Order: sequence, then C-alpha cells, then structure tokens
Amino acid sequence: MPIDTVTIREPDYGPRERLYLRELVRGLLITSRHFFRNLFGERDLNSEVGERQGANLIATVSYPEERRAYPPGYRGMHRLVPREDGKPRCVACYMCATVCPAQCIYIEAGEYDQEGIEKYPTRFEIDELRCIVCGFCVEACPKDAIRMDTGTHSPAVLSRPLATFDKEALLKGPAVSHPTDAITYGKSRRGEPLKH
Amino acid sequence: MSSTMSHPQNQAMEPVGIGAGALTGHDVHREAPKGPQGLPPSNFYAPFRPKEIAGAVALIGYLVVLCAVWAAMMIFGDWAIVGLFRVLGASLPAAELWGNAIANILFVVLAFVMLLATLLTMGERKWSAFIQDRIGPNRARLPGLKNHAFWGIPHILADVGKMMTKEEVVPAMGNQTLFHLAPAIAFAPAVILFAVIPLSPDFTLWGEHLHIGVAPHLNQGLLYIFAIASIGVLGTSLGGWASNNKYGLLGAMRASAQMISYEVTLGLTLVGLMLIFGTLRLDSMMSQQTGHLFGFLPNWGVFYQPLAIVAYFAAASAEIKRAPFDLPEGDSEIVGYFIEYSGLKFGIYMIGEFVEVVVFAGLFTTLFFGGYHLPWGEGWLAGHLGPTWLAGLQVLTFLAKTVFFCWLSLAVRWTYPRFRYDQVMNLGWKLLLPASIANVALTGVVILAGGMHGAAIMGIVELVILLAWVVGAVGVRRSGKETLLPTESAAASEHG
Amino acid sequence: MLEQTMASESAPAEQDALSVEQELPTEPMTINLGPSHPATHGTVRIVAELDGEIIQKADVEIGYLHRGFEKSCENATWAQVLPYTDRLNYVSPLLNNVGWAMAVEKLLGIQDPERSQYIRVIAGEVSRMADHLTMLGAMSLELGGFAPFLYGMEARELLYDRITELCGARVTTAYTRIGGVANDLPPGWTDKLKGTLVKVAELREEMDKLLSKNRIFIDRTRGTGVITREDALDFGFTGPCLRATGVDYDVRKAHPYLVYDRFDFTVPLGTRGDNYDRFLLRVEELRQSERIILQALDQLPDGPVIVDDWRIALPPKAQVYGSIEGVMAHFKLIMQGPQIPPGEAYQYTEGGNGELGFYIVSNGQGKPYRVHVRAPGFPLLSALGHIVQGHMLADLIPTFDSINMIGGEVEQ
Ligand code: SF4
Ligand code: SF4
Repeated sequence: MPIDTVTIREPDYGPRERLYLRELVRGLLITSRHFFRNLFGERDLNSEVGERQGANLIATVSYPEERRAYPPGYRGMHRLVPREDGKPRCVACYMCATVCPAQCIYIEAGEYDQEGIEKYPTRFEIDELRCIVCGFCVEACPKDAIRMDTGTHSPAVLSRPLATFDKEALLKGPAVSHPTDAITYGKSRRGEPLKH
Repeated sequence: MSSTMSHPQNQAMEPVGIGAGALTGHDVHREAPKGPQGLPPSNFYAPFRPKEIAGAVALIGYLVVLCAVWAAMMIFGDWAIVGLFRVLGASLPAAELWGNAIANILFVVLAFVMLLATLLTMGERKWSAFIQDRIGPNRARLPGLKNHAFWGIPHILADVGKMMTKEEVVPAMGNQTLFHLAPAIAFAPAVILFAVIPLSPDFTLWGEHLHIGVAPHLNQGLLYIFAIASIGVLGTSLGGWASNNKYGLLGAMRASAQMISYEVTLGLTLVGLMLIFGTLRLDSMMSQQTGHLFGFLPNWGVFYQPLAIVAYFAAASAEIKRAPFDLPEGDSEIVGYFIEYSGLKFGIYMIGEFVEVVVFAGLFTTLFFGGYHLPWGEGWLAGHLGPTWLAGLQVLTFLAKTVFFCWLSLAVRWTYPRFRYDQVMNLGWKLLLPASIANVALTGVVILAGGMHGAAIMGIVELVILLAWVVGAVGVRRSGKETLLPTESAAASEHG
Repeated sequence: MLEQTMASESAPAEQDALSVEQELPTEPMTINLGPSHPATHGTVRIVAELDGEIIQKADVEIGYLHRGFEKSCENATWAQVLPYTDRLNYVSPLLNNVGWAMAVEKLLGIQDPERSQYIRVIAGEVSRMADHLTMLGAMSLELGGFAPFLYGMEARELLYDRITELCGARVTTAYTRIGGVANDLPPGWTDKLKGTLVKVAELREEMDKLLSKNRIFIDRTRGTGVITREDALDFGFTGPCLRATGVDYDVRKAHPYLVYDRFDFTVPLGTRGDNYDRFLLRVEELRQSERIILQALDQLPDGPVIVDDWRIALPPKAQVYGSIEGVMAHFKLIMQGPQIPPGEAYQYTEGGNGELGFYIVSNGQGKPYRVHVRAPGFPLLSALGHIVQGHMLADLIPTFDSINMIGGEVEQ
C-alpha cells in the first residue's frame, strides 16, 4: 500500500533570517506579548487551567492556596468502604491482595459469629509506598469494599512504617450498600435481625 | 473500573452508591455526549480590560514615584555630604570635590548599581516567569507582613541568607589562592565601570555645585571603560581554571575566547561615536546629545549610529556573558565556569553578572540613548522648573532608561537559544567585526564629507532600513503554519 | 589538564611555533556527562573523550534505570503486566498500554470492540502529542531557550489533564485491558479535549515561531546530529528519527493497526536526518496527531468498550455483585489471570519514538513465559556515539534531546 507521505517543507531561510535580526525581533515580540499580558492582565483563578479567560496567560495553579480538584475517577488514596453499620464491607476474599501487582495488600481473615457474612478482615493493611496506584484492587473486589475515590493522594510520611495504613485508618468515607447486600448484612445466619 | 469510583465531591455530600447507573458495569459512560462539531473559541487573543489598563497605569506610576524617591535621595544625599564637608571646615571647592566623590561612591555605586543589580536578581526571576506563563517566586514573606508577597523581593533576603550560610566547598586539588581571588576579580571591574557614567549634568543646589556620577569628567572615559571591562575576563577564566574541574576548565576556555574576541568588536563599534562626538569624555558626549535633529528627533547617538547599536548590543551581551552568548555558563552542556563555587563566592559571581547588566544598560543609555536627557521639552522645562529641578528629572530619566534596557537584556536572555562556541566566534569575527569596521569607515567618510549633519542623515537612512526590516518581520503571517497544512496532504508525494 | 599545562611549559622555547604544535603532547580529555547531568533527562552516562571541544569518542552507558521489567513480567499474570508497561516510556504511557494489550490480544486471536479501538487511537495520539511536546520543549530548553520549553510543558500538562480525567492518573495510566479499555470516555470529555487541542495548537505554533526560523536555533540544529539513511536503517532506527532521514516507515501507515486505516493523515518525512529535521518533523507530527484525534472523535461509534468474554475481561459489576456465575468468573479471572494459549506473538505499534514491539511467549500456564520489548529508544541511543563523533560537545546536547531517548524503555 502506498503510504501517504510528504516531505516537510522547511520554513523560508533567506538572507533576512540569516541576519538574525528579523527573527530575533519576532521572537522578542512573542515573549514580550506574554510578558505584558501576564504583568498587567488579571489572573483568572479557574482551577481548570485550559478554560481560563482573560488576557493573562499564566498557567500556574498556586498550590496550596489554589487546588485542582481531582477529576472523578482519579485513583487516589485507598479506603475500605464501610457498611451502613460501620463495619467494613470487605469479606476478606483476598482477591485484591491476589491481583495487586505490587503485592502491597496484607489481609488476615477472621470470622463473625452471628452474621450471615462469615468472614471479615481482622487485619487489612496497604503499604502505600509499594502501591503503584494501578487500581486493580478496586476492579478486583467482588464486594465493592475497596475504593480509591477519596479525592486525595496518599499523604507524605516521615518514616516508612507510617506509610502502611491499617484497617482502622483505611475504613472511612461514606457507607455504601447495594441491592444485593440487603439479604445478608445485619442479619444472622438464619436471616433473623441481629440485636446490637 | 470507573464504575467503582465516584467523584470526591459527591462523596462529601451523599453516600455514593454503585447505583443503578453503575450497575451497567463497563458501559457506565456510554451516554457520554458527543461534542459539537468545530472547535470552541480560544481566549488566546483576548483584549485587555479597562481594569487591567488601570492596573498597568497604576503600576507604572508607582515605579515612577519609587524612582523619584531614589533620585531625590541621590541629589539630597550629595548635597548633604558636601554640606558636611563645609561644616567640617573645608573650603567650598574642596568640599565640592571630595563631597561629590564620596557621595557618588555611596549613592551611585553602592545604592544605585548594587541596589538595581540586587533587584534585578529578582527581576530576572519574576520577568522570566511572566514571559513563560508562570507566577515566579512569591513565597518568602517579610516578618509581620505575611499577607503580601511584595513581588518576590523578600526572596532576595532569603537568597542572601542562603548564600551566606551555605557551606563553601573548596576543591582540594585546585589552586586555592586563585580560587578565592577569582570572584573578586570578576566582580570588581563590573562595579567600578560605572564610575565614568554621568547620571546628571552639573547643577547647583543651594549654592553647591553638584553632579551625580563618580568621575564623569574623566578625559579618557571610553578608554577607561574598555580597559576596565577587559579585566573581567580574568575573573572568569581564573575561576574556571582554579577549580580543577573539567567542566569549569571548558567554561573558562569558552569565556576567555569569547570575551577577548568580542572586546575588539566592542571597541570598534564605539569608534563611530567617538568620531561623531569628537571626544572620549562621557559627560561631553552627554552634553552634545541635547537638542533635536531636524527639529523633532532627539539628538541621540541612536540616530547617528544605528548599525553600531545592533553590533554593540550583541558584543556587549557577549562581553557580559548573557544569553544568547551565555555559553561559558551553558548550563545544559558544561554547567559553567563556576561549577565548583558555592556559597557567597557563587553569589558574587551571580550578582556580578547582574551588576554587569546594569552597567551595560547604563552605558547603552549613555552612549546611544541620550543618557539623562529627556527626549523632548528639556528647554521648556529648564525655563519653567529651573536647572536644579530639571537635573532631578534627568536623573529620573536616566533611571527609567537604564531599567528599560535591563529589561530588554533579560527579555532577550529568556527568548533565544544559545550559540555554539564556533558560531559565536564566527559571528564575532566574520560578521560583527567587519560590520563595525565598515561602520567606522563609513562614518569617517560621511563626517569628512558632510559633517555632523551628514552623519545624522546617514544614521537615519540606516535606521529606516533597519526598521523596514523589523516591520517586515512583524507583519508576516500570524498563523505560522508554514511547514505543512493539512489540506496539502492531497499533494503529497507517494513513496513505495 | 595539568599534564597539558606542564607540557606546554616544558616545551623548548627556541622551536618555532609550528613544530611546537606538532610535538606538544596532548591527550584527549575524558569527561563524564551523567549519570547526573543537567542534560541527561533519564539517567544515562555518556563518557566523552574531548579534543578541545570536539568529541573524539562518546560511549553511552546505560543501566542506571534498570528495573528488571522483562523478568518481572514472567512473575505476573498477563493482566498484571499492564501497569508495568506504564513505566516503559513514561512520557507516553498510553501507547505502551495499547501495545501490550494488542500483543496479548494477538496471541489470543481476539479483536477489541470498535469503540475501544477508537478510544485507543485517541488516547494514544494524545499521548504521542504529549511525548513530542516534551521532546520539543526539552530540546529547546537545553539549547538555552527556556520560554519555548515552558510553552511546551504547559501544552503537555493540558493534555495530561485530559489523560487524568480519562484514566485516573497522569502518567501511571494502566488504561487498556486485554480485550478493550478500562472505562469509557467520561461525560463531556470529548468537548474538553477539543478545547485543549486548540490551546495546544496555539502553544505549539508559538514554540514553532520562536524556534524554527531563528538563525541561532537553525545553526545549532541544522547539519548537526546527522545520520545517514543507511546508517539509520543499520542501527535499527524507527519512528521520527528514521523518518527524518527520509525513510517512509510509520507503523500506522505501513501496517495499519486498530482503526488507523480509516483516518486521513500524512506521514511527514525529512531529508537530511539532522536535528533540525527531527524537530520540524515532530512539530508536523503534532499537527497530524491533532488531525487524527479530531477525525476519530467525529467517527467515534457507540458500543461496548471491552469484549464480552468473561474468560478474558472481568464481568460487569452488576453480574459480580448479583449472580453466582458472575462472581465465579470474576474469581477465576482474578485468581488465575486470563489464560493465554501457548504460542508466541510479536505485536508492533508506532510508539512515541518509533516502533514499539512486544514479543511475548506463552506456555499456557497463566503467566508470560517470556516478554521482550523492542524499545524504540534503544537503537537510537546506541547510535548516539556514532552520530556525535567528530562533532562539538555542544552538539551532543541537542542530538541527545532530538533522538528523545527515554530511560524507562531503553533500560527495562
Ligand atoms: S492500586 Fe494496584 S498496587 Fe495499589 S494496592 Fe491496589 S492493586 Fe495494589
Ligand atoms: S477484594 Fe474486596 S472483599 Fe476481597 S479482600 Fe479485597 S477488599 Fe476485601
């Protein structure tokens, strides 16, 4: 198949360009246009940099006073999703730990005595330093029990052990329930309501 | 995957369910709207609003007031020190001689040059930021004034603190003496260069004859400049050599070759001016740049020697190692002749560079742009204000012009890529040097034939040609799509 | 240095200048550029032997960024390899994602849905633009032009913003999946992308105007870093660097993959194979990428974005949460990874710097038996010493930039 190609045409390079001055002035005009617009123009603080209006061309988002909201779907810091009763939705199925390419999730399972759901994690730790933020754990969870929707990234820590977040630290954010959950959550194994 | 994620803001408002919408699994965004055809308009050429213009005017006014305070400080400081000598019992001529000299060393060299150079360190960072669509340094705050960044000026203090407290690493295998001496050798000539530049004409304030400028009456003013300027290369090349670092050595070699080559051009570009003004004294050059050419053009060097200006600008940039001639630094290639320097010595190299910029801008102003002279209305002002007030205004004018040329030098630095070593040499020896020699010859012939008037006509013809060139540069297509337009693909050649 | 100085002092003074020059024992100065040097973005060391400022010999040493990519892949399931590929060419990770997913799909013998193919093209071209903008900016930066660099970076960041919205991360995208892509385009994304492209085009033209006719820039780039067509082919060049020498090889045209054959775009070619050609060519490719994206956005069909085969792609979440079949398929796929039949495949795509090839071997046991990446940057980097030999030290820098070697892919 013949390929649709074209040889790049070079910009004119005549004696005018050769004598430096003309292109230098042209370049200077471009940069001084930026200079004066940025010096005198009023800065639009829209965090969506591409949509800023006005003469000012400054593209800086001056963190931390100005912040860009992470877009929906941003893979941020993990959280363990709580149930309505505050316990983790996690059933310690180890899927997230299995799929994790960085092997940074550590889970130890325990058993509830009374509930319809038997397993729960007694330990659930994520080493955020090892994590490569791929989001596979979120995808792998069959109970929607782990999410990366906190809208923050994992915080800076002063020593490495502090970057390992345990179950208590991870269990946060709004509770989630699904229609399929109602059968089991908050019921005993025989389907009777639990007394708390 | 996105189905299991929710917007962070939703999360704060309501529990996010993987609700009905999310249960469609991967197709959660299926209904994503298709955008309208055609592209949204851009704000790239948005005009200034009235508010912004008002801001511009206010800022300029503010700067003028600042400069006025500065000029007043110089004038009254001068007067006060002469007065002090009188009080101490000196005769009037002696008091004027010594008082003027000491006051000017204090106020011109220390206050004006050093202050301007120090502010330029921030100016460079701030201005380059604006050129590059950034904000620039604005984090350092003055104690007690935490709410205003003061255009980054507190960063200067922070920088000084940093430079002074940093560890000074001295390469063990280097030449210790020269290593310590080199920054001073580089710095000193830059500062003392300013001595011969007059900032104001001689004037009388309350009975004392004053002038701003350390030694503007020096007979051999221009020669002094050439002589002192050529010392600077020692500091650079010795610094690079004494650090016993290969990069430093490369930088030093580049620096010495470049600076020595361009000194020739630098000198020759000014020969034309010497011919026209018939003097080496900067103050008498100054006094000749008054009045008007053909009744309306300011009688400035620029209208006699436009070619020399271009060559001088290039040669001086090379001489002070500013981009596009900054290859002794060449930060991405060889890091620079000061690679081994740290702490205050490095700081001295840096500030020395800015001092050079100020001196260069001052010289440029003096030689080609009428120095302290206002472009128009000097006679009228002298009649209405009196020579003393006019002198104050002229100091102000000098400040404004110098600051403008500092800005130009920095804007050039942040716009252009840097040359290569051999290209700098080619430019210097094969283009600028012959051009400046031709300029000298031409000027000489024209002056012989037509005197000052002829020189002015020649200069203006040259200037018109140059300007036509530049306007031609501005007028060409703005779209810039010159290599290949998408529609041209039809004409594309076919290869196998 | 010291030897030179001493030698010149001890040279007998009575000899005339010429013979002194002949007898003056000089020896080349060896300098290390890198691994930590302002111009080595990406960690690489260049040992250059200098005669004055002329490079007599330049040895490129890699190994400072080696991460054992290929071996790591052998210990991960086919799906788990994907995030590793982000780290190959970390300036245009989406192109690597696409390459990997297509390689596995080739071994599986499946095609991803049409909408997914379009999304892959769009995402890939956005990445390519980011890659080229980075290179153009870096080249300008290291030639001393700081303003064009930051204009390029600004444009790149705008594109990265769009990538963040699409994939959830700027650089660690992990966006494609075997048999499709991870998620559909977010609502309103296409409009935003179009707006971004306008802005990027403006910044690109400013960069172009600041540089491409500037005599200083032309002097620094034209005729420097030249490689002939034959040498380029011998070294195994692909991509913009090969096309700059005039060889019309672009995988997107020569062996169209995804839906590239449906778009109208041209392949720009250079003539001299020098830095200037490589620069202009990339500017032109930015324009072509923009064209491709706009056409793809117009043609974008509806439909699923991942195959509906539970042995390869995860079942929809509704099925996982609500049905035993769904959860079992999900469980099997997560625990064992997609099962790829034994065999081998080589899938090549047009990466940011040339042909990005994934050679994969499966023994049918759930993990790659062997993965090899044909990184486009490696041949380019290995030719660097050849290109710069006999040129000035200052030419090394734009050459190093214009071949756009990316540490991550050169050293896997
Ligand atoms: S995001 Fe990826 S690396 Fe991080 S914990 Fe989840 S699966 Fe592991
Ligand atoms: S995959 Fe979900 S339910 Fe299973 S262990 Fe991980 S978080 Fe818990």
